[in-house]
Amino acid sequence: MTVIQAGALWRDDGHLTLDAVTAAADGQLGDGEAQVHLHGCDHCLRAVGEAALLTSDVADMLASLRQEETLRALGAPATRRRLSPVAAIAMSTAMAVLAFVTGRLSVSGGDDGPQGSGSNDLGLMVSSATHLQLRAPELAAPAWPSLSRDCLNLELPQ
Amino acid sequence: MGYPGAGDRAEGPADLTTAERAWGERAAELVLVVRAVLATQLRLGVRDPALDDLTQEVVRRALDGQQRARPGAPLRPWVLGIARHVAADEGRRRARLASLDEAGPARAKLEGFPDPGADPEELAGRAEGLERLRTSLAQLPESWRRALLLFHIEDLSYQEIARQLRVPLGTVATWIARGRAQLVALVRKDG
Repeated sequence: MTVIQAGALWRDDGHLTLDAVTAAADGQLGDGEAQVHLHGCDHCLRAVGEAALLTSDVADMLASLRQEETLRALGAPATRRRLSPVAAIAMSTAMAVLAFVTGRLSVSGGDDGPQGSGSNDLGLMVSSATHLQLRAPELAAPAWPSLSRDCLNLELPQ
Repeated sequence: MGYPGAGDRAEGPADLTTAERAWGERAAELVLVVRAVLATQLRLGVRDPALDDLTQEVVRRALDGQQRARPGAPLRPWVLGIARHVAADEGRRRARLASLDEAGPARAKLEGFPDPGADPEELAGRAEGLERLRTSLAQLPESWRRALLLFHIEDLSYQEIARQLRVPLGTVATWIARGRAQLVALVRKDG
């Protein structure tokens, strides 16, 4: 795979152009003379390193933005959700207890289930609520809308 | 000079499963970039034996940690993250060794060695950082922004981007290179 045209690979001083360095950092340079050059040239290898670090920084920034946009599109204030897991778990637990109490009240005097099932239910509800709360971000994460199309109002060619 | 831990893996290639081998082949494609990152961060020359040892250490850690990698997550940023950590560890180790010789200045070097990966996350993690990033993206020329987003968000190759935008490959490389540099400059300037 040779991606960049030969004429755009080399500078007059014998080193790689910025385009070639960027392509190498992105794994898009392919095999060939430029790859061989990179194994023996301090200058170009470090330039690729700089470009790779820049790529990594930009990728991290865009990933953060994408995550934020996803949560926002789902109607959740992302930063608050991340900042207060303890409060959220406490709230989930309280709801589980409330559900347990009301459930007990509604069946009291009626045909009860097996003895001791109430405490098992409570434990199950609390652990389920906590588990769901802890997994909430990862459950919500995959369905992010296209950052480029929906969130930044950019129209990408199809 | 051998890096501590380098070459500890006793198993040979025959012990690897098919999935591990396939994964290893994908990781091997990143060796050049790993070498480049290590050379840049530690100011190593291409013929410095430490560069080979450290590259091997990155690959070893990546192979050992592949079980922890999120399924479907891109391999490149993850492996480059390991490279940054290995470089930081080695930088600190060298600074510690140097501090035995020259107690004062080396300490400053040790404390000053950057924590890999902390900067962009710290920046983008804050709401204001994200807003700044959004504004900076909007300030890029449309062609640069499109190329950047297609590469980083849509995960397209240069060739796919060139096809989609109907421009030569070299132009894609130029737009991506300029877009990245400009984006980081804008984000840092406004910060």
